[in-house]
Amino acid sequence: MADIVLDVNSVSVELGGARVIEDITLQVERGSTVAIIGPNGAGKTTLLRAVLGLVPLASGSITLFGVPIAQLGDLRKRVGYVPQRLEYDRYLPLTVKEMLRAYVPHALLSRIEYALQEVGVHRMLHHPIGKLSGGQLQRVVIALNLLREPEILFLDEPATGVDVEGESRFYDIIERLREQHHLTVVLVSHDLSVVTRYASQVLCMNRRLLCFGPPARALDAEMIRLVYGQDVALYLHQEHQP
Amino acid sequence: MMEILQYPFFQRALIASVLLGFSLPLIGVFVVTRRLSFFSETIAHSAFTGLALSALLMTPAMPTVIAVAVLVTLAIVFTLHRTEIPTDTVIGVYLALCAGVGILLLGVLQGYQTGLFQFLFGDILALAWEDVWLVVVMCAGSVVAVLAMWNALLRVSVHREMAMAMGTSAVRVDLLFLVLLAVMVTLSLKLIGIVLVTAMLLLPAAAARNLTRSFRGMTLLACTIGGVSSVLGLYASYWFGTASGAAIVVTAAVVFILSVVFRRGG
Repeated sequence: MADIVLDVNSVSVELGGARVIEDITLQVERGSTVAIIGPNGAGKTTLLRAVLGLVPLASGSITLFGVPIAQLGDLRKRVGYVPQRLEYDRYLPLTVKEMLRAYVPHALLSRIEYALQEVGVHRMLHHPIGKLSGGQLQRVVIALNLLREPEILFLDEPATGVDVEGESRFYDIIERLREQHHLTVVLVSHDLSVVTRYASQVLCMNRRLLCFGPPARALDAEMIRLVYGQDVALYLHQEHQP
Repeated sequence: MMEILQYPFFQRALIASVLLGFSLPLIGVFVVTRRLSFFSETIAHSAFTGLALSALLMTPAMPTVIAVAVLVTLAIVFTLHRTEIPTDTVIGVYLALCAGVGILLLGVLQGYQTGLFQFLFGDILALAWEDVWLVVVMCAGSVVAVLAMWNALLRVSVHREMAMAMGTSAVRVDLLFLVLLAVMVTLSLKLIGIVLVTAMLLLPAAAARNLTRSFRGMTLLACTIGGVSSVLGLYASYWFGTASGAAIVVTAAVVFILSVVFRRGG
């Protein structure tokens, strides 16, 4: 029997009186990578925020580790989250080490250094976070999550604002960490190449659920047209052919 | 310079101003980081309403003023939590409400001005030893409270939703910090007045922010600037025969201006 970590059951969310997502159902197996895709305004981020318990549900239910999301309590320690971008004060004099210590107060310095090394930003320990590039900062946030040793990691378009090469490197890191740390990954993305390359399951949505399954099966030309509303198709690049 | 130290009123003023000069910036670094300077102004203005109510209801002034400040804080947090109105607008609404109700009630109580002026301008040179002990207790309490909340405050300051997703109760952190801020501002009002409270919360923290690269460095420097400005300002007021609170504010403001001039990369 599949080990279900996250169970989203007929969830609808209303924001400001308008129904933003409607009747979404999703089950995430332990160790899988699930990508949530859809056009702008499809409700992808809202779904992620609902799963994290940050917005109230209009109807439906969400359980994480078999526990209703509102009653997670200490189980939240097993949840990791990488937001789209850290909208913080760029001029705040706060070093990477201080930020990591705020989230993981009892982490040994050697563990902090190792986590930063894992994501390739070990030289940034004493840098103010405002001096980091977008990609470096996102990798610091990944390191922060690794220090907390989560079982499930949620990422909301984590490579927004990062260049193409940086984005590819970023997702390679996520994939490597997923394997090494036995993580379950749920990520929001609008990038179909990311989805086909890294996701074991894809959920397409445009307020409502449009498809759910392995990318090769769920993402046919008709579905992509439905999701993105234009003539977009998937082509397997020579490099990636077996 | 030293002869003034033999006077008990100056000893009391020196102890109180150094303690407040050290502990208010400790809270101030988070006030600056979380952009809450408008909130501390609102709490200071809630003293109008508190004072008027205490006169009307014939209740002790300080507990009434603190109760009103805490009530206003709870109302602000509740409104922010229940609506999607921007923070500065919500705080502005309560600032207007506090000032309006206070002035209305004080108008009803014509002739009542003594307590009001003491709260508005304070007089650090007029402190009794009981006041100094109050300062000792409130400063010790605020230092312990801020250090206990340190990591949670930083988490909520960096990214509120990430902190919440990882298990930090942002509303509880907000509530505890704002109530602490409200109580500290209110208790300080009678001792040093509205102007000095806001100045000691903001100026040292703002100056330190300009000169440091780490949050720890910012905090230590802010507390040092606060303490040193208090001593220098107090002595300056003695030399030049000026109001002590104003001299402390001007000293801290000069440090802030210097920090702008000598800012890293600036």
